[in-house]
Amino acid sequence: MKKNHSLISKIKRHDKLDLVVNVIVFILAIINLFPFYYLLTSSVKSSAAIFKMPPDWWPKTFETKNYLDLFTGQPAFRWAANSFLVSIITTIMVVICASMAAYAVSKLDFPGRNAIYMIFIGALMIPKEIFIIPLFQIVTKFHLTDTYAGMILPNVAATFGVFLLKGFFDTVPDAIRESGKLDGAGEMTVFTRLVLPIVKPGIGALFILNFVNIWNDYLWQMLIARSKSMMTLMVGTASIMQEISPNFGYKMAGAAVASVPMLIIFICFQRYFTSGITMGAVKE
Amino acid sequence: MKSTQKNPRLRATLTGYGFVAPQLIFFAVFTIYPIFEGIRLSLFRSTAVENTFVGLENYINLFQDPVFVKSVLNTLFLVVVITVGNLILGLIISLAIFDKKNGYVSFVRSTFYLPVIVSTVVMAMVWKFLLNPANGLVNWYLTKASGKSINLLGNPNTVLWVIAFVTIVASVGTSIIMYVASMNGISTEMLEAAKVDGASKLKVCTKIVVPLVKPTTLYLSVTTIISILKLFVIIQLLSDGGPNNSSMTMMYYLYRNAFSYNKMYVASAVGVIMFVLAVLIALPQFISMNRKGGK
Amino acid sequence: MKKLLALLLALTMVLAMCSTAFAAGITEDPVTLNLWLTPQWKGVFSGDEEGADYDSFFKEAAARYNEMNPNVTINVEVIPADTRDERLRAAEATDSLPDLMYEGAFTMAAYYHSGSIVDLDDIISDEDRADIGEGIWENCMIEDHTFIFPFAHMPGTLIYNADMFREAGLDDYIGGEYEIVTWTPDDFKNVILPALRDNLPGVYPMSLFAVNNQADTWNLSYLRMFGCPFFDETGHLCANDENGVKALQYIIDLYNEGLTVPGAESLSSNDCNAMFQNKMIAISFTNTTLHSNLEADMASGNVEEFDERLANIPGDPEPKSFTYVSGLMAMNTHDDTRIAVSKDFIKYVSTDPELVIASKNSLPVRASVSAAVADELPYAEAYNENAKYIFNFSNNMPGYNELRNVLFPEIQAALIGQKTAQEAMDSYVEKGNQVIDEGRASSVVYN
Repeated sequence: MKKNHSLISKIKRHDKLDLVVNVIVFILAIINLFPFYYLLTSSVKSSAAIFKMPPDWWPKTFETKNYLDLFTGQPAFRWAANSFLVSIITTIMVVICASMAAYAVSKLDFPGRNAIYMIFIGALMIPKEIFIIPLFQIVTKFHLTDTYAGMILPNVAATFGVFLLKGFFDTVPDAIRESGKLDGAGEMTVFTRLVLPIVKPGIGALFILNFVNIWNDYLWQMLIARSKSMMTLMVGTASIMQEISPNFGYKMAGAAVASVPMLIIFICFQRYFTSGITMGAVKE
Repeated sequence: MKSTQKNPRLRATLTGYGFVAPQLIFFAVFTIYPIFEGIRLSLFRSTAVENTFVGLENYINLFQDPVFVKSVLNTLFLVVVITVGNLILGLIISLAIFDKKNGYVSFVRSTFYLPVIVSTVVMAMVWKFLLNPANGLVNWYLTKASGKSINLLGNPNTVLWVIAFVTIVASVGTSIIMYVASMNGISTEMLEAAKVDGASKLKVCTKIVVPLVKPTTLYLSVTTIISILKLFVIIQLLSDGGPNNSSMTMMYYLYRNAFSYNKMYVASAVGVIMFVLAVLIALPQFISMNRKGGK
Repeated sequence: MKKLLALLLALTMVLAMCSTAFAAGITEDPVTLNLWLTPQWKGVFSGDEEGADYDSFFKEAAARYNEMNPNVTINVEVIPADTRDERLRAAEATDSLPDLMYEGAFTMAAYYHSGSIVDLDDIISDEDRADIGEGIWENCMIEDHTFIFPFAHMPGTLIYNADMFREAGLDDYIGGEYEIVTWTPDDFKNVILPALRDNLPGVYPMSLFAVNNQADTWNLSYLRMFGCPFFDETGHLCANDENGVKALQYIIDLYNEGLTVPGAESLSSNDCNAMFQNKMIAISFTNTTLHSNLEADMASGNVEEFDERLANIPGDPEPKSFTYVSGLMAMNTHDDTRIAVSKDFIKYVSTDPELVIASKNSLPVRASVSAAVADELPYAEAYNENAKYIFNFSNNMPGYNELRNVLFPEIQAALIGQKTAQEAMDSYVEKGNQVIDEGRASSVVYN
């Protein structure tokens, strides 16, 4: 949606410093790809080939065995499905709760509104990991360990969405709300029919940010997932890493598989990622 | 129903609370309660044989434990190095590319964002392989170049830098994406005018662009600080807190006490200290962010 | 079949009185027990049975027990080893412990100290005491109370690549195929490792790891190699005595002279194991399970074949050996009937002449079973021979987990030269004893 409209790009004459810096940046960008190159090539090498130094920069043989072992020996598909399920449900719940709350603190007038907003905002500074013990105890008490609910619910409490969306709701003119009111619509109708469509970009931003965050969450999911079939992709991959197995290619295959789904999502939705994340970040 | 209709004030209040209720309930159960429960737990000593109120004893014991003190210093070190590194690197790269062709910008941006997408778990795994002292690529070249065996993860002077480096590589992409977008939002007239004045790019960047993206800087510093406080998987997979606790962080110390030693009361006290620390470090940026970034 | 019959006969004699002792009138009411185990062996008796899985054995045992006691049903659940503690601690907190648990003794001692495991002394007969070695029993007791009925065990040793030994001209130091060879610390340091280092480029002579507490039992064994008793009579650490420091210095010397893998301070046992199997390390660590996995991997072609053999951890005057004992425990569910039935089930599984044969999947604790299945377990004799070197590495003390985490940072510090051997051991003893005292203060055994 946002085109790069910078005029400077039209300036043909670059100064020297700019050129040097850009060359360095470009080289860094290429170097940055190296770990992935290493990951992918190692994942198709035999164990002995991985230990070879200096390495074969291009694998001499392509071992599909590592991947076959992974998908037959580990419920890798199930892990990916778990990750997807947990991320998407958490995100949907976050979007619902946060958009309603953000709407309320932005547009509705009720006593305690500002106090509630300040508390929500203050909580942004506290990652849930800090209070992981009581959190874990609650989840245990509700018998939610090893369940999707146990992985999902605590993350819905995060108030980042309220903070992010409030900025968007603030830009919606009150007139729109009032016009809806005049037509006799209830608050819920005004919210879902009139206001929500306007803040769609904000919702999209929250969706993507939250999805990536949950997808990459590790510690909490590791604590909650007990059985192999409940592990998410990240937890499962890390567990392979810690497994006693002489086959490093197999471990690399695990890491490669763990990175693929998100990579695909990223490539397909790259535009939304870049624009979404930014819009979420800082509303001027 | 009737009374609410008669009383618009009450009705508005009910509506308002109705809207915040879902968020508020989750927030109360999974954030507010844990905070208070965490504070309560930290004031008790609870084991299989006792559950006694001990006041601040757990805290006093913590600060007498050299490993904990080290973990606090390490955490602060990582917060400073990673936050500064992340912002400076992100800013420089963004300044370099933001005025270039779309294709180039999006290539560089995506390359740096890739590690964020594939997750820290995978990044940590790959780096662990590369840095393995006996058969890792990095070590092999270092050993070849220096003639003696070098282990970056096994040296107390380098291990934190390695962790900081890997973390920065794994997170700088987010900064670049935000900075570039924020720079694209700067009005073109302003940059045009500067160009007409014959200002160099360095000058344009330092005088115009950097000040204008300050809200982004503030936002990024808060989120980076918070994410470093809870940094876990990189430590677990790369160094396991070693050597000799040289890379022990508060989060990892908390985790060990809670889930390996079954000392929930110690872990709770660490959590409370981290809470205080988080507020102290992030609050200033946070306040100015809300002042400038908000309305 | 003939073999099985002979076996049964032999065992029935040893365990004569057991078979009549079961069940009979603890209760008539229906009882449902829950049994948890971490993955041990697949199948009832052997992994090549159809549908063999980790729960096969206990499902079979439960079915047999149910036949004799129709009112007792036992549910079997396999739990992953790496989340065992979270699960059990959560169960403790919510008073939902399983009735029965099958696991290694030293990992479970902590739960005896927190009051979650009940004594089993009253179900152990003199015959059991005689049939199972003393070193094994020591691993199963805390302050004269038996908290686990030993079933199988898993001794830890060293493993070496005999092909590499030949290449390095060390033929004299190669033991027999099914022997556990013993080297003196002197030969080890001055002959074997240097020969490996000097003659085999690209191969590290020996594995060494200290990044975390994984497989630290081997490190504990090295530290005892010169006879350091480790614990004094009060149960406190005394590992900083002359012999303990000497042992650590020995390891540091090996490390500094390039006789081990480099960077041991940030290597895990997994790393070393993988390097050994990929022929990058000549001497490494193993236990019966790892060893049989390796042999299976070689047979299936997952690992390139080589001549691997077992060795003792060198020691002076005698080598060191340890073992992980596993067995059934009765958990404290605060329900007398269920505890009584659980104990009865434990007695049945641990003494039934047929069921105990399943212990051949690692190593039987019973001499009678070892003898009976000798031809299936070529190493059994060597292990039995070795049993006299077994020491109880954990003392089953409270806070053992935390004690483990005190050791590896000190080894790291010693390896990277931050501390001398004496300083590292002193600091280990000081911190360790603090952990021990704290552990005792929170153990139901001492309070």
